[in-house]
Amino acid sequence: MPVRQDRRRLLKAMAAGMIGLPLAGCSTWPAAPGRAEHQVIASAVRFANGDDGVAAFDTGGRMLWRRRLPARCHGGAVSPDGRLLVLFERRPGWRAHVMELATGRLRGELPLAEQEHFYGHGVFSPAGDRLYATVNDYANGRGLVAVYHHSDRGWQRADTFDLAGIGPHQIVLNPVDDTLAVALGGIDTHPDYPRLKRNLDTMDPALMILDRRTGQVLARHRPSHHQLSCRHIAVTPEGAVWAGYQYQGPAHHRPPLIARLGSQRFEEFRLPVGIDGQVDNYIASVAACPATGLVAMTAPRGGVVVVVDGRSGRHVGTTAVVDGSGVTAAPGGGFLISTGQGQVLALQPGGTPSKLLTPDVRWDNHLIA
Amino acid sequence: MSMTGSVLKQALRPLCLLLAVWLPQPLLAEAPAKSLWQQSIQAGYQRLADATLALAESTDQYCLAPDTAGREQVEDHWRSAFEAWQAVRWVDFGPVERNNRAWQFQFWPDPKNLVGRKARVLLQSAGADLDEAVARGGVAVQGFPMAEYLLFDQGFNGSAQALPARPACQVLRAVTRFTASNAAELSGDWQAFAPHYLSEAAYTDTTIRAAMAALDILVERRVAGPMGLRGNGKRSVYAADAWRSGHSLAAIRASVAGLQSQFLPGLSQQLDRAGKPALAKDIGAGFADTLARLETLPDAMGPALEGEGFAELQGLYIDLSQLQQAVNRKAAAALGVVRGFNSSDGD
Repeated sequence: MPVRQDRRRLLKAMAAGMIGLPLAGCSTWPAAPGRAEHQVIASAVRFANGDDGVAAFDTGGRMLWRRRLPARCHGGAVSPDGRLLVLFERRPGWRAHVMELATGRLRGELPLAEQEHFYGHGVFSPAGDRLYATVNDYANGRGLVAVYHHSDRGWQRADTFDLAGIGPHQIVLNPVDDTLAVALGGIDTHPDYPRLKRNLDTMDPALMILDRRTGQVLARHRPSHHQLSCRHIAVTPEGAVWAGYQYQGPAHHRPPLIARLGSQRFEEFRLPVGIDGQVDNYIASVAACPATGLVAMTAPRGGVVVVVDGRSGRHVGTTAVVDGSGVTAAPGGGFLISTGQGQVLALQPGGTPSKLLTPDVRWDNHLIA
Repeated sequence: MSMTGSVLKQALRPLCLLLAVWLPQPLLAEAPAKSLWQQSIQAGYQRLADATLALAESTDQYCLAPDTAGREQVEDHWRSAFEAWQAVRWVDFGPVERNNRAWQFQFWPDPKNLVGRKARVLLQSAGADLDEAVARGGVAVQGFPMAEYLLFDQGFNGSAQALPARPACQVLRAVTRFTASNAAELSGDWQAFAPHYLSEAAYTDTTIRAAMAALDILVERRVAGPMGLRGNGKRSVYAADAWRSGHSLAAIRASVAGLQSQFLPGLSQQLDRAGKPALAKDIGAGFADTLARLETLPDAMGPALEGEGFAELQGLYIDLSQLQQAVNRKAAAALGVVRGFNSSDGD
């Protein structure tokens, strides 16, 4: 029952609403039960001199390595055996770096076809021999999933799934039914003018479910408004997919920003009045905590992290975190949150949220674990 | 009556106290600066609406009865309207965010010359409904750069298709009409947005961050970029805005003047309230010095990039960089405005 107790304690700690984060002191994160070593977590970073790169730390609070890279990166994936990290350049991404998670040593790149770029996310198959990445075929405006296969010759393109949609972003594996979940943002962009959104009137975003072997689209769940760009997702151990939106409509609208797909039912949830405004219509990252059943969503524009109960969808708490964006479940329960100001914070079950480490880098958008 | 009034006052007292407690203090303190900003932005959008309407009307007149004076008036009106846009271009929040409106006014940067390519396509659509073609043609055809191409592009002006040829006139009329209607809508939308702007406390920081971003764009992309101080190190007027009309430096002057008249008064008030009147004075002097230098510079940037005027550009770059430091570092720190990495540039 320790899990339940942890969850109850975190719920209790968060129930009061805003939990302040004392920034003094430094705590270490305990290794997960039954695990001798601390978990390694990587993230794209910007260094103090403005260069872009990647860095890794462990859940004990130690910086492990850092490496400069030719361009700004975004998200990525760790192989099931924990040995490889694949890090994607930020949209429009021309490279996906394959590296050793423990050392940061570069091991290669994923190839791209002509007139394609990465969107910034990918995921490994359960056996680790395949890798699925979201890709833009920008000459034709087609959103794709590029499938890579690992062989003696390295990572080769094995297949391409056409999503019949625009702007796929994060992709995750659902271990319960062995499907792929794809957050289809719906926004048409072109690498020549990368920040220009070309189809705000005609966006058609969705949370899509794919057969990961054939690429067959099994389901396409559309948000309640066509300008709710479905961008970031996470899966709970029970197989529910949680999605965070980025609203492209007027700033004073307050649409629902989070959704859950569980047991064939797709539901959106509204945050309580007051909290919804703090989120500023923009969810940057989503993570599900297996130990507590909680789901965290970061909202850097609003400067908060929102936590909801993964089973009921009930809002559990909101924590003020300046420029917080990356989030991942912590091995012992709770969440780690990275900020653009350099901090990695631990939102710990039953304890006071605390600072795990603050190296001289800006953590960029996602934590990869 | 007085008794009733007194009873009412008594009854309302707890409510007033409650409201006073409930209203966040910063909201009460910030209201005057936001009110200044709201009004000056409204005036800026109205000027844009008036100037773009004048451009559309003079285009109509010129195309009906083309002559040299008419052509000069259209060009003058393009310059005035473009400057009106430059003055209020720093506002990157509110109704201008809707449907890429900022891009609709000015598609920039345009490293692949999409404006030139789209112009050639539009010019071949004679007979089609050009209002519809412009409305559906995307941001590269909808604003000032497309009108600038038709009025000022050297290669185009030397061709048989040049104004006042009928297709060119049809396209220019459609583009200037679209821009005028866009500006009128924006001005109306800002008016409708005002209550929300004034009531949401977060818009104080949003407004300051908008000016910070505009200063970054001025220094890094509109000045340092063409000067070859960034990227590949090559000087290139094509990296500036409004190079076809030779109006790059005039556009920078209009943007700095816009920040001075629309943003600075509210910022100074905020700094005074934060006990930083000396910083407010320094920033005011920085704007005045930068504008004084800009007054001595020509409208075009091209010749200065190639010749002796380069030292003057370097002086401008230094003035603007100092202004950027004073606002983006000192004033932001004094007012507790944080511009995040993830909060300002996520994906």
